[in-house]
Formats: sequence, C-alpha cells, structure tokens
Amino acid sequence: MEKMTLNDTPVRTAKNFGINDITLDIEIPEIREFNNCMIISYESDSFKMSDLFMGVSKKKITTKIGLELNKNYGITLTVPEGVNIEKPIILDFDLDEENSVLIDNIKIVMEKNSEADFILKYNTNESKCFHYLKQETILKENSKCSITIANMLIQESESFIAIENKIEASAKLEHIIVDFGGDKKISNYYSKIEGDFAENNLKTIYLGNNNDTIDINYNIDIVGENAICNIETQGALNDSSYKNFKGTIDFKKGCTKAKGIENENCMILSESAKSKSLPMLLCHEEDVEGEHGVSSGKIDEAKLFYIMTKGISYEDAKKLIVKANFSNIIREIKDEELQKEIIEKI
Amino acid sequence: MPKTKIEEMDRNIYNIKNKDEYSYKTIGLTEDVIRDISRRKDEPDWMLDIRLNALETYDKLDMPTWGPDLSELHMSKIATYVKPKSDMKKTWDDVPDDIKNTFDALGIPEAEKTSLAGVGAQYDSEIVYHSIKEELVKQGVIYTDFDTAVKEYPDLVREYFTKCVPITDHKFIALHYAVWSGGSFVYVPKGIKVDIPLQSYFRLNAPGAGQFEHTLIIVDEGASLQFIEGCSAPKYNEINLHAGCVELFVKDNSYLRYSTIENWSKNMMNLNTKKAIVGKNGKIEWVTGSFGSKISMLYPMSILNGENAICEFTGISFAGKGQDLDTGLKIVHNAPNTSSVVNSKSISKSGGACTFRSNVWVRPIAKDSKVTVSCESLMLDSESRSDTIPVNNIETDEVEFSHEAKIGKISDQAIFYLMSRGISEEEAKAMIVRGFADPISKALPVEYAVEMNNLINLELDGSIG
Repeated sequence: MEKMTLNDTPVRTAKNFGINDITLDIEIPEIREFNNCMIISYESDSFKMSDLFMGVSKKKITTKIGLELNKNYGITLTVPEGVNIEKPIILDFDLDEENSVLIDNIKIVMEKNSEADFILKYNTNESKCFHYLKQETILKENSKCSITIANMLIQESESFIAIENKIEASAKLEHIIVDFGGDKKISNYYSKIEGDFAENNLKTIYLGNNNDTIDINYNIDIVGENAICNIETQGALNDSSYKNFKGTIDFKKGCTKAKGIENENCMILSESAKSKSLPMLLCHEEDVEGEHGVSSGKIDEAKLFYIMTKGISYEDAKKLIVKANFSNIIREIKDEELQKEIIEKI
Repeated sequence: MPKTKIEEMDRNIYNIKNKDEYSYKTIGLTEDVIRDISRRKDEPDWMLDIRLNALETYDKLDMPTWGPDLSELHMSKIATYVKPKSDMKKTWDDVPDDIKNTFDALGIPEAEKTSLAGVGAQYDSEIVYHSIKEELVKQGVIYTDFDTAVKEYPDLVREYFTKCVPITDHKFIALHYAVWSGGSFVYVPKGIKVDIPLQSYFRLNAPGAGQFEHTLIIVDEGASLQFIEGCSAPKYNEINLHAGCVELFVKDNSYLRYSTIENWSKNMMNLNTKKAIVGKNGKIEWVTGSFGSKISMLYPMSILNGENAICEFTGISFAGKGQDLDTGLKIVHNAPNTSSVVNSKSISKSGGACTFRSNVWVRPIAKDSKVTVSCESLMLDSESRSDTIPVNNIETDEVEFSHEAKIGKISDQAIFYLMSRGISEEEAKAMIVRGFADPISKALPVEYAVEMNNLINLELDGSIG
C-alpha cells in the first residue's frame, strides 16, 4: 500500500476544509498485458485506428489525477474530415481474473466537420479490478462527438478516470460518465474550450455504496467567445460512502458572451453517508453568464410515500426515485442495451 | 423629470491624516515587545501567559498556502503597539482636538447623540473615548474598553477570552493574541433587550502600524443586542495591518446583530477573525460591507451549537483598483433543527478582485437542518476578477441544502429600459449597482445605509459609463 495525494483542485482553498486533494492508500498492482478489448462498429471503414498498443509500456502515462503508471493498452481513433458515423463505435473492455489490471490510453480525434458517437464500456463479472483510463479528445472545427464512459466494474475494484479535451471553434463535445464500479472512484475532467461558439456538455451519474470513496474533479476553461459549457452531476450515496465533488468553470479573459452552468445534485440515502462539494466559478471576463447550483439531502418523503401507496416497498421506492433522477442522463446514452444494463445495476 | 440625487460624499473625511504622534510605540514581534506591552498595560500574569503562548504558536504555524498574496507583509516592520497621546476619556471635550476632529468628521459624536446607546472610539492601539447610556448601566449592561474589562471583570473575561476563537485557529489569530490591544467588551444580562445599537469605531492613523483590537460580546439568555463596528484609516505608502478578533457568545433564546462597515485605506492588509457561538433558539445576524483595504481575508464563522439556532449572513464586497478582497463565511451546524441563510454579493471594477470563499458544514447531529446559500457577483469590466470558491460539507441525510451562485455583468436590457425613461447610461448603471446592493442597505440602520450608498457612489464615480 502506498499513500498518495491525488486530484488537486485548480485553485486551492483552506487546507482544513479538506477538499483541495484526496489522500488514499493505493496498492499498485502488477501490470501485465491486457487482451480483452473488443471494438464494435458497423462502419469500421469510416474511421481510422492507429497507435494500437498492447503489452506493457516503458513510459508511464500521466494525467491531472497525478497517478503515473505504465499503460497496457492504447489506441487512437480518428474520424476523417466531413465523415458522419451514425452508429456508435463501442470499445468493450472485459476485465477478468487474467486481465484484472487495465491502464489504457484512448485518444479520439475528430477532424473538421466530422460527427461520431463513442462508447467506452468497462465490465467485469466477479474479479476485483484495477482500472486507470486516460482519455484524450481533440475536436477540430465544426466537429461533433459524444462519448459515454461506463464504469460497470464490481464494487471491490479501483477506478481512476482522467479525461482531457481540446475543443476548436463551433465544435461540440458531449461526455457522459457512468461511475458505478469500485470502492475508490477517482475522476478528473479537464477541457479547454478554445474556439468561438464551441460547446462542451458533461453529464455524470455516480453511485456510492458501503465505504466507497468518490472524488470528482472537473475543470472547464472557457477561452472562446460565445462558448457554452454545462456540467450536470447526479449522484446517490448509500451506507457509509463518501463523495467529494469539485467542479470548476473558469471564464478566461476574452471569452465574451460565454455561458457556463454547473449543477450537482446528491441524494443522501443513509444517515452515515457524507457529501462534500466545491462548485467553483472563476471569472476574468465581464460579459459572461456563469451559474452554479448544488443541492444535497435525502429523498423527498412525500414522493416516497406516494410510491409506497402503490404497493411498492420502501427500498424499491428509493431505487425508483434514484432511477428517475438519473433517467434524463441515461436516456442520452446512444446504446439502448447499455441503458438497460445501467438501470439494472441501480 | 426630477431626479433623486444622492449627495456626493467627501472622500477626504476618511483620508484625514493627523501628525504621527504617540506616547509610546513598539516595532516588530518579539518576546520583549510582548512583555513590554503587557507591562505598560499593567496586566495580570494570566494575560501575559496567553500572549507568550500565542507568540510561540505564531512561530510554529505556517502562512496560508491559499488566497491573496501576503508577501508584502513583513512583521518585523509593523508597529505592533502605538499608544496615542491621550488616555481613554468619558467626554469628547477631553479628547485631544486633532483626534476629536477626526471622529467628528467621521460623524461618530453626532451619531452617538441621535441613534446610539453607547460608543467606543479606538485611535491606533488604544480606546480614546467610551460611553454608555446610564439606563443601560442600571440594567446591568456592561460596555467598556477591553483593558478596563480585564481589570474590572477578570472572572468574566477569563471565562470567555480565547474560548470562541482559540489561539491555534490560524497564524494571524496567534499574532492577534500575542499583541492585542484595545477593543470593546460587552455583556448583556439575561432577558435585557438593548433596542438601540452600540457602536465601536476603529481608526488607525499611524503609518506602518498594526491594529489588533479584541471585541468580546456576551449576550446572555433571552437578551438581545445590535452592535455596529466601523473602521477606517488614511492612506499611506507603507503596508498597515489589521488583525483584530471578534468573539461573540449568543446564549439560549438570545439575539445579536453584528454589523460592519469596513472602509480601510488601500494600503491595509485586513486579516481579521470573527466567530460566534450560538445557543438553543439563539440567532446571529451578520451584516457586512467590505469596501476598503488592499487585501482582505475575512470569513465570519457561526457555530450553531443549540437546537433551533439560526444564522443569517448578508454581505457585500466592492473591490476597485489594486484591491483583492477574499471574503466569505463559515457555518457549522452542530445541533438539530438549525438553519442558515446566506446572501452574499460582490462587485469588481478597475482591476479589483473579489473572491467569495465559504465552508458550510452540516454535522451528523444536525438533523432536520436547513441551509440556503446564494451569492451573486457583478463584474463592471474585464480587467477585474470575480471568483466563487464555496465548500459544502454535508454529513447527514436529514438536511435541506441548496447553494447557488451567479456571475455576470449589468444587464443590457435593464440599462436600455432605464435609458428609455430619460436616465443617462452612467446613472442607469449606478442605479442598477445600488439596486444590487439594496438587500444589504436595508439590513443596516439608516445612517449606515446612507454611508454605504455614498461609498458605492464614491467607488463608481467615473468608473462606469
């Protein structure tokens, strides 16, 4: 076990508030070759796959989480200029006893005027896993892309998800993160919206059970004029789970008429669950609109009572309300099978 | 159409510089300096022990690793104690003319006649004038300078001093306890309602000096009090430091409104600490206007220790050129059914930086608590900065918690609407800014609301349009 301090916020606040970073005991596993990835696409001729890496790299991958590890899988997917891929490209990672450690680096490049949807799915049946993802996205002018990352590992696993994006003019990026698996769920999201009229939407659902530790650190820098960003996070905490949400929208000087909205809603389902949030707005430009909202609390008693009058048990009524709160985000995932799987998991 | 005109305020009243005269002065922060201050004040040994303990703590604690840049502060150069040439007087006529004239210009003696139940006036490190209405004394209310309280009410002071804000809280509170001087002590006995406010005014005249006044207020069970704190200083080229401390005890079923209009000069580092402990069914109301200082780090804290305790916070910050105002609040919900309502606003212009920083902590015991936090920031140009850095720490499911924040500029539509009514663009913008600050104005006694509006007018003068 190694004690590590990870996931620094872009701006620090008082140390005794206990949210600038997170210190965890992490057991770095032995990294071996990973062989269980399947790429599913109905239009595989429409995009390019390059830089495929399998084995164990000598060079370590670095991310804003602060964890440096050798990767055992890497690939770059490029959608050429003007190409529109209708069906989602699915990268299905199956972690099992033989392939329980995955350190992957997935790069997606959207050339000008291209359009595509991607799904990165991480599954396991029984095995305790260690997963560290670095996902990079480059969106060139006027391209459009949605990426869903579904962490469906079992609860005893450890999950680290780091995402870095660069978005050019009039491009639109939508990320959906489903963060369910692992007793440690650490995620970091950094976007630089460089171009004018560009847009970045980030939607997350997370679940905390038992003694789970969840540390979410999102940071979107807005540089372009008339740019838009939207961070929406919905979560539910059960048992003695603990969550930090750190979301930052940084309006850089010159991003006139930009808009940024950040919302976090955390349902606390047990009296020993704990929720901490730090929704930051940083602003160096006058002509912008920035908003954030955070709400926490238990499920509305009136709603629960209403559902229970229909003959549904207390536990099932709670699940139903969590599903309802998550449903707006789940519905936007471009794969119905995965939608069902996620609902089932709740 | 006739227009309502708010009289321009004469900025010079804040900038009156008297000759740098004093009867005694110490520079820097050493054990000798502390022993010297204590000896001159003829303090009991227990107070000297607190000071020396605080110095030791100060040396051990690190500078903050967050917030504004404090690198210009050199404690070895700060005058830690500046005793004015006058002792404390009970009538204004006995106060030396130059000091009295300063307070006259600030309107303190006049306000005392018309709207205050008592006044304390501090000049540099010591109180030079203190008064309280006779009927309050008859009711058992104590309002005196802190040095007198240490001598005349040692048991009360010992029971409460450092108990709300401990020496170890942070580096600058340790500094405060090492060299504190001046300030006010208030005790309101059980069941007594003080309807007319008390006011303490802190004036720092000496260049390169620090002011470390200590305010301790105890509002006993079922009592109520309104207390106003004002502060200002003339502008010098060297750094001045304010590291005061306010300890408030709001007992069961009692009420305290603590209002502050802070207008330090723009060479001041204002590193002040304020904290309240609130008992069962008690209520603390903070009303804060921060206009002055080069750097401010100020986060009044409320610990809601009793069931049904309430905290209301209404604050505004206005940062202009060269100012970095890092302000906000801390609230701890430490009992069931406690509630807090926060309404914070900030305005940044001409390169000024406003930061709202907060920590709201709802502990597991605080079942059925309610928290509402709202903060709004207005940017008047793109040279300025406005940051919102709130931490919300929720440790129970039985809570209703919401936090919202907005950053933006003055609405073009609102300006257009007002201009269509024959109002100039500049005046329309000024009206909108005054409207933005209106909830805070309304929470202040009328004289102070006028002062705040005048300060806003002063700050806006020539800056927008």
